[in-house]
Amino acid sequence: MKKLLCILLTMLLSCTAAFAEATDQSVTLESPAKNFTIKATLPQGLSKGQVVLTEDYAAIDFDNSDNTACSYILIVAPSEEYANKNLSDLSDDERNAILSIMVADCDQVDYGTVTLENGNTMLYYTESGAADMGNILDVHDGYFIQLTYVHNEATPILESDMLAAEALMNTLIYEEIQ
Amino acid sequence: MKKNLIAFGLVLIMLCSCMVVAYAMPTEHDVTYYYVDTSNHGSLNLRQAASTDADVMAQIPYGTQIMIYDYAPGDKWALCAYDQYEGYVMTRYLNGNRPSGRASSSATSSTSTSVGSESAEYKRMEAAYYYAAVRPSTPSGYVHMRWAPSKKEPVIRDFYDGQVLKVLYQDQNWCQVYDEATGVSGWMMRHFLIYAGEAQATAYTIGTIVTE
Repeated sequence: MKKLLCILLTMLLSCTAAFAEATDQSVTLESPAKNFTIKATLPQGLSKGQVVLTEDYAAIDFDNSDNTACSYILIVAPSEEYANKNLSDLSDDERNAILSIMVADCDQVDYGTVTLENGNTMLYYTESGAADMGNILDVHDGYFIQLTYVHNEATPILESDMLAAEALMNTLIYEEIQ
Repeated sequence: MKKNLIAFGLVLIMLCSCMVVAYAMPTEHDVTYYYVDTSNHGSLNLRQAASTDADVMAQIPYGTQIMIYDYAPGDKWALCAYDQYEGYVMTRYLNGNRPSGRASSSATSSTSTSVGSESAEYKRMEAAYYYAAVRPSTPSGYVHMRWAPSKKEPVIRDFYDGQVLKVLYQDQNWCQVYDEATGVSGWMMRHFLIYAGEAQATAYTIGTIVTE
């Protein structure tokens, strides 16, 4: 009887672990020029939404089943000003220049750089007041990759929202298309 | 007789060739002039084809006036001439007005975040009626449409690169814009709008302008 219980418990734990892994959804977005793809791993609760592909940009929505949390949009667009460059190639002045023009349309804004768990540094800015939205930006091979997050009910952005967005950007993998 | 026929044929061919060349040559009305206006005040790539994958032939300095002959489908790339080269540039980095500021040799920017006053006085607004394409400060960014001409006003919705709006009223810093796709109207900073063509003046019942 004891052995049977142990076996059943082990099976139950295994199934739970497999189910937990299955809920981490992996999505892929192609850059507009189709020279690289971006792979993101979505945590539980997020699902792939609408994909928009134009000559100017590629965008994908991530819907959140939790209405009290944020939904996201990830956009990839080419930049001639920073063609073939990565964010790590840019000087502090260039990074500050990007940030200053990004926040030009904002009222109450907090902005700067953030270093993710994987060691990558990205730019961020968070608006409050007239618009409650957050953004994290990376530059890869001359492309701007921007994650925008906002609450479904337009409530203020919390620190937990910023951490969740950073965690999502931390999963990004850029794969060159041969 | 035979010689006359040959001569006539040659003249005809020459005439047809002249007509083809004359048709193909850009006329004064076909050519437009724009200035290179990059946000980092750096140079703009002139490419062999209308793609960021195409080879760069030259780099056109910030503020340079260039002649645009034609546009690639979608109007995101323009065919132009610079120096001894002819190639394509991205239209989002072109401005019909000469930009202020100096070129940056190291592609860093002495950037000013001042793109307009905080708020506008309605009495300085003038009727406009033209289409404008939204041009966010970065290719992946967005521009707020607000309830009133002030950065402190709530956001109605956001618009992305290339979306077209109808401009109804404007002053030097703000535009009242109308989205024909959704019927939504609001205010957007003029700095983020690029002229995209004339529009018919149409009466809209949008709201009452309240003066302070």
